[in-house]
Amino acid sequence: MVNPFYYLTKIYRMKFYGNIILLLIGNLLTNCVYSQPCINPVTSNCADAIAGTSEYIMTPDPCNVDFEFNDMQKYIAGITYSGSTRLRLKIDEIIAGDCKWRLMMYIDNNGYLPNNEWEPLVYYGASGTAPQLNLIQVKVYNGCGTPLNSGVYQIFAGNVNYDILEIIPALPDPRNLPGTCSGTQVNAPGSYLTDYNEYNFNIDYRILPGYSLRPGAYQIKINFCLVEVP
Amino acid sequence: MKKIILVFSFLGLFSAFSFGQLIDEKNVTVTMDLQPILQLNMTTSDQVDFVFDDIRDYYGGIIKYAATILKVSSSVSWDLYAVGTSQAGVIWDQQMTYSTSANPLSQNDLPLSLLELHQYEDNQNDLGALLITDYSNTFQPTMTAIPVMGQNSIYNSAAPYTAPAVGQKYINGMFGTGVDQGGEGGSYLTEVPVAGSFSEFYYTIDYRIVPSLPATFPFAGTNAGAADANAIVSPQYAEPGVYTMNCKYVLLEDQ
Repeated sequence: MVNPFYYLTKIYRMKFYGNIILLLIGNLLTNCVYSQPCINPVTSNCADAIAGTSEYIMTPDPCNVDFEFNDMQKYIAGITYSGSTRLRLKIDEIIAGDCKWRLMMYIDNNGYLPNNEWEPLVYYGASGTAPQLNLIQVKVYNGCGTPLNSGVYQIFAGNVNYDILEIIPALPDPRNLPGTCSGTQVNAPGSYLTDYNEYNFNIDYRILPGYSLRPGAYQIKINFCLVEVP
Repeated sequence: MKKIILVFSFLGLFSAFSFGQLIDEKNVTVTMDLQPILQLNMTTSDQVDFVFDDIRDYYGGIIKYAATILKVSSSVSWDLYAVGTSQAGVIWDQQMTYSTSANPLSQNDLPLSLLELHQYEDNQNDLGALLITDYSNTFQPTMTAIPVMGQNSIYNSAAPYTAPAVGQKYINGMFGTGVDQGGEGGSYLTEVPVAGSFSEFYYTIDYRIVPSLPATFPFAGTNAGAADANAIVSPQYAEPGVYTMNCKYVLLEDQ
């Protein structure tokens, strides 16, 4: 006589493992599709900036930067927005001596194809070429010149979706500690409250469109990613 | 096997829902609004008057040198054309007559094409055009025995905002959007012309009217070199009086 609960238990077990496998496949697929550069760190030496004591503040938030070319003078001279984004960091460590971080920005055209062009919202005319992602110029700087290429206008030279510009790159040990204001890329725990010029970042934006672009409204997103590094 | 699956399951879940690590992201949305700019700066008197009160003016005509200067700025590819128009369509509007003659040879329907233009620089974006594509030819001498009719005659139309069709004159560009069939975006403010010339964003326009005697306006004609539909043919002659017409300069996106 077979126990009637035997088959029932077996069915439940099969469903359980089936669900687990489905979950795993889903997770793998999510990780594959999620190809954005801002990915989870593998260590937990720094305090969390969302639920923990670290802070990552952007002002204004939300931040929209609108370039409106409605006058010939603007086409000729371009439009510059100075200091329109500001990032302030307060990094606390959990494991003493092991907390390091990286700050970068990457460009996102909302998945528009071809992946080297701005996402068009509306067209005003038929002639001209589509603006490319390397059109926008970005300058990052602070009082101590800690960002990589501090104070220099840079473009997303890779000219492709998710192209990266490092602000504070992932650096090997030893960590660069704050307080020296020597222009080194400080990547250790610290705070904008005590070392303002090393944990505060100002960002300028500039566009020189030229005269060959197709009239219309276009959009991109620039993401600023703060992540711990081992 | 079950244990292995369980271990990987928890590892997978852990990677998906990891907490307590330093990672955060802020976003800036950048919007670029490229509005098409077509800016035509014109320097000219409000009215260009031709007063024929001397027999020499009838024979030799009257020329108004550089009476109009055109300066272009455009953020898109562009065409520029001149068009003559009037209340009556394609003939001059007679404002007053000085004649009481009932002679049937006296005509007051004067074709708009009797107004001649000369532009400097020439049209640099008329690739593949077959007929005369601009007003860059110098005015023909008034003594020319058999003039080329319509060589410098202004393009005229009762629908002035309809761009000239194939085979009609433009100051810059031509009908069509192919390569070198329209000026590239730019501005007279920044364009550096070749030494000894103006840029394609800067034009000077001369005007001429030659009535001749009898006043038949022998240089008037179509762009194909034919006589105008309203041509005055000797022994007809233009009725003395005051006539007006309107000369428009239209800057538009290349089309």
